[in-house]
Parts: sequence; C-alpha cells; structure tokens
Amino acid sequence: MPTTLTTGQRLPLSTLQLPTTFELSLSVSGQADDYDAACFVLGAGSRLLGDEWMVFYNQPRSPDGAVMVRRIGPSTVFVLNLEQLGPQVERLAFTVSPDSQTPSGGDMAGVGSGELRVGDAIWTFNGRDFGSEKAIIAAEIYRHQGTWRLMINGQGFANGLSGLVSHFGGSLAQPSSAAAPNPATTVPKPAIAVPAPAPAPLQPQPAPAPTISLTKVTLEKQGQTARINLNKSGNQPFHVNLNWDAHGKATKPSGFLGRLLAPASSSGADLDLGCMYELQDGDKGVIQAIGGRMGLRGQPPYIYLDQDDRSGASSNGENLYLERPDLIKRVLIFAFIYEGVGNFGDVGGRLSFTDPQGNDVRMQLSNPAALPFCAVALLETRGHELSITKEERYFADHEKCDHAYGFGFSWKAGRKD
Amino acid sequence: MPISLTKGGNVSLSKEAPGLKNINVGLGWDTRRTDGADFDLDAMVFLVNESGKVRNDQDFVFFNNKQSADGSVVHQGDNRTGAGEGDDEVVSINLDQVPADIQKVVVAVVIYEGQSRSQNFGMVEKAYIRVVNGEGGSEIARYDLTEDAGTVTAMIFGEVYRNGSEWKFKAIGQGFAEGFQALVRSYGVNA
Repeated sequence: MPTTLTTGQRLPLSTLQLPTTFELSLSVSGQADDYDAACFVLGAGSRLLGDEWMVFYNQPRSPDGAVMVRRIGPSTVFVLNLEQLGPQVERLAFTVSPDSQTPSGGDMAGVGSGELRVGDAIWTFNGRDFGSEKAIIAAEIYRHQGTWRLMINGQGFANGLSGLVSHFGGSLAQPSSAAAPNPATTVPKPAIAVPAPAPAPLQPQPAPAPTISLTKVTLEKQGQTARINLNKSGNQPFHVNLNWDAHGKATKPSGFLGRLLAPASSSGADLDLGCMYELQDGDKGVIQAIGGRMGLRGQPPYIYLDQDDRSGASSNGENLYLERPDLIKRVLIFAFIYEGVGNFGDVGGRLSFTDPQGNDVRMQLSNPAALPFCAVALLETRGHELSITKEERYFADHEKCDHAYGFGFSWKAGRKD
Repeated sequence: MPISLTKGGNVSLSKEAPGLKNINVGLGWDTRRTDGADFDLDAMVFLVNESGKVRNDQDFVFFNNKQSADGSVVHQGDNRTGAGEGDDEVVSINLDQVPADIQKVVVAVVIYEGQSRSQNFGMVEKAYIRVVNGEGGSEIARYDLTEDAGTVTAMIFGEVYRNGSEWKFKAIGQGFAEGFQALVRSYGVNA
C-alpha cells in the first residue's frame, strides 16, 4: 500500500523502511520540453558544501558517491546511501526546474503531472500547486536529532535557478562580471555559470571562479545563437557530439553504433560528423572521417575527430573536439548521411556542444528535407566569446554547402577506408 | 537554564522560577524564504475552565480581541510575516490575575488564510513556543515544534495550566485538521 505524501509533510525516513541504498525518483512532464532534477548536498545553515556537491545531469555523482543520479526514461533517479555521507552533510535538497527556455513552459504552473517517489511513498503534484515558480525544492532529506527525516517542501522561486542557488548560499555569477571571488577566501562560495548575455570584456580577467554549469540550452530555431565565454574555458577541449538512433525507420534493426566507422553495412544508419574550419591565421580545412582527415590534437588546427573508444559501451555517436576555440575564426559543424537512412529526422539526429564548464547546447536535426548533408551549426569567435548558431541547412553535398558558406575548397568524391 | 521540551512534555514554571508572577508566551517562526504569500501566523489564546471550555467569548484572545475581560491575558500584537528578531507574537499572562475558575490557558496558532494560500505548518520553518519570565525576560521553557508540525493550518502549540498551587507548561504540538473554525468552536467559542 503506497503512502501518499502531501506538501508540508514531515516524517522520519525510517518509517518508509528503506534499504541502505535506496532511490528517490522524480518524474515530471508538462509544457516544458523537459524538467531537470538536481540534488543539492548541504551543510550547516542549508549551504551548499561546494560546487562538486550539486548532483545533476552534468555532475552525476557526489564526491563521496553517496548521491548519484541517472536518467531512466522520463524519470530522474537519485541513488542514495545516507550512511556514506560525512557528518558535515546536514541535508539533501531535491529540486525541479523546467528545462525549456520557452516562456509558456518555463514555470512550474506548466507542469502537467509530477511525481516524487521514495520507497512506497509518493508525492504527486501539478501546475495548480504552483504560481510563478520557475524552480522548486520538491523534497528534503535532513538530519534531526540523530535521525534522517523527509520533508515534502513543494516551494520554490519565481526567479528560478538563481533563487534556488542563493537559497543554498551560493550566488549566480555572470561570467562577464568583473568581480571575482577572492581566491584567498576559505569559505567556498559556489558560482554558477550561465552563458554571458553580452560580449565579454576584452581585458584579462581574474582567475575564473569555480563554476557549476546549470545551463542546458536547446537551440530550436535556425539562426538562434548561444554564446560561451572563452575566459572560463581553461585548457580542456570543447566537445561536439553527433548522435542518432541506429535503427532508423527506414532500416532493419542491425549493428551497433560502434560499427559506424566500419565499411558501410547494407542496413543501419551511418551518420558522419565533420567540420569546415577557418582559423584566425587564415588556415582553412575540412575534418571528416572520409579520406581519413581526422584533424590534429595538440597542434594546429587543434580540432580533431575522436576515433577511439568506438567499440566500448561508452561510445555514443561521433565526437569532435575543439582544443583552441580562441584560434578559430569560424567552424561550420556538419553532419551527413553516409549510408542507410535518407533522412536526418528518421534517425533522430541530434548534436550537442559541451564546453569545459559543462554548458550544454543542443539541437535536433528534425528537418524532413530529403537531402543527405546538413550544415548543423556555425561557431564563430569574437574576442573572448564563442558563438554557436544553429544553421540546420540541408544541402545535396559538401560542395553545395561550401558554396553557401564561402569556404572555397575544391571537392572530389571520397570513401571511407 | 531553559528547559527544552518535546511533544507532550511539561515543566513546572513555579519550580523553575520561584515567585513567578507573570509570563510572556512567545511564538516565533521563520519568514518565508521561498516565493509566494508570506506565512502569517496568528496566536489564539483560550482561557478555559475545568470542562475545557471558555466561560464566554471574552475568554478567547486573538487579534480582534487583544485582552481577556479581566486583563490577565494580553495579546501584544500581530506580526504578519515572521520578520524581525526574537518572538514574532507575544501573549502576556499575569498569572496572579487569572481568575480562579480558569484551569488553563491554551495557546494555539493558526495560519491566517492558510487553506486558501495552500499553506500548512509543515511548510513553516523554525516554529516554536517559549515561556519567558515577565520580570527579567529569562526563558523558562521552550518547545520547537517544526518537526511535529502537521499538514494543518491550525495547531495547539502549548498550554499553561494550574496544578494545585503551581503553574505548569505543557508542549502540545497537536494539529487541528478541521481548521481554524473547528478549533475555536471546540473550546466553546461562538464562532
């Protein structure tokens, strides 16, 4: 018999008779494309212990492993072992916020149905429970006189994530802000990175603050742009991932993603990721698997395709890395259908672009055009800012794309080895 | 050394503070930190006799009737948000002036418009009741009841009662699921 929980309810966790390792899941659907759940691991005064103590899709594990998260279908599942938490941890707060940037789906009033489940206990909620909140604390698990208790909080903040973050003692740092935390300060104050709304200043900046990225931007429309401040990027490469469903509608189920660079099979989708680049020093080129133009790591152009780890389970689509985005004038990311299905929409083609802070820019290739070549996104560097613009323009081949963008390469047919 | 009570616990005020003449019963809660309507908690005090009822409506002291007929119980004013240091609402009780046929003074708290605002005590942080010596202001007893709070909009926080010749205080922490009006009527008030 499930226990129904109501907003404001508090109970000892022991009454739910949970095993040492148990799950707390959140499933929310509504007007937003998706809803993100996170767990803030908090110390005294409900303050976030540090950047690494926020567990969410970009950081799926707390440092001690006591809190882990994974996505299972529509549910975000937190796997918890409270015994592994150090004595400094007073509280875990589980939050929900709409992922969408669209105004109509951007608040909790747009929730159609939501469910929090821990053991046999269920709290259900929907948009009528909320006003203009754009982020809520769904529930908290906290210590009280030596025992763990659960509270259904159900309250939130109209200013969304920034409200949550300041509630937990953090501050929402603008990347372009001139003020940076004093490095000598001993109390870590988490700063949360968001894409800079305006171009970053050109003068050198103080050492970047520790950042957690909460940003997951989906570029829906052609011409939409996301901007990333390069001052914060450090030395880690930017990562472009192209993924798709191997079993397109038009194909028989066959093959693994890991075989996609193998000689083309008669069925299964084979999408290739590549780019046309122009560096600020004038160097131009094309990087793609065809012809073995995999790019170079550690030397110009500092752009390369990952050809490792294709057989492992972790291999997921195709990956392109940009080590020195500051050297880029422009890079056109493209995808094309080498074999298999004839339509990007049929295989759910999708591109994600992740910067070293974990800012995640995504786009779907859903245009039903029957052309095999898609110019997906254009990256351009201006000063200390990299812009990513969704193109999603379809062409018959590389050459026609090149003409449209004016790189001026000479083209000949090729095949993969 | 103030006594910290748990639900159901009691303490002899007369023993803890010999010669005690008057007390302030303080109520506190944290201002709402999340967005939405403020938590407006209102203290409601019932002077009840042996049978647990008020003698008349004057024995029900609240924001619209700030003083009992005899003047022994005085509501010091309404705080609508919980803002500010210290107690958010205070009820002063002059123990010597409490009429002999009053057996106990029940202190309840109601969330104003809690139902229409979809609020309940479980959502309110750091709610407490404490008894302070009216002379000198030292705390005699305290009950932090947040963890005992239910998903209700009316709660009996505690009661000050006679036990022979002494006065005692008991931490009650009992929610009233039927709401404010039912609570008031249960003590015999014509509401």
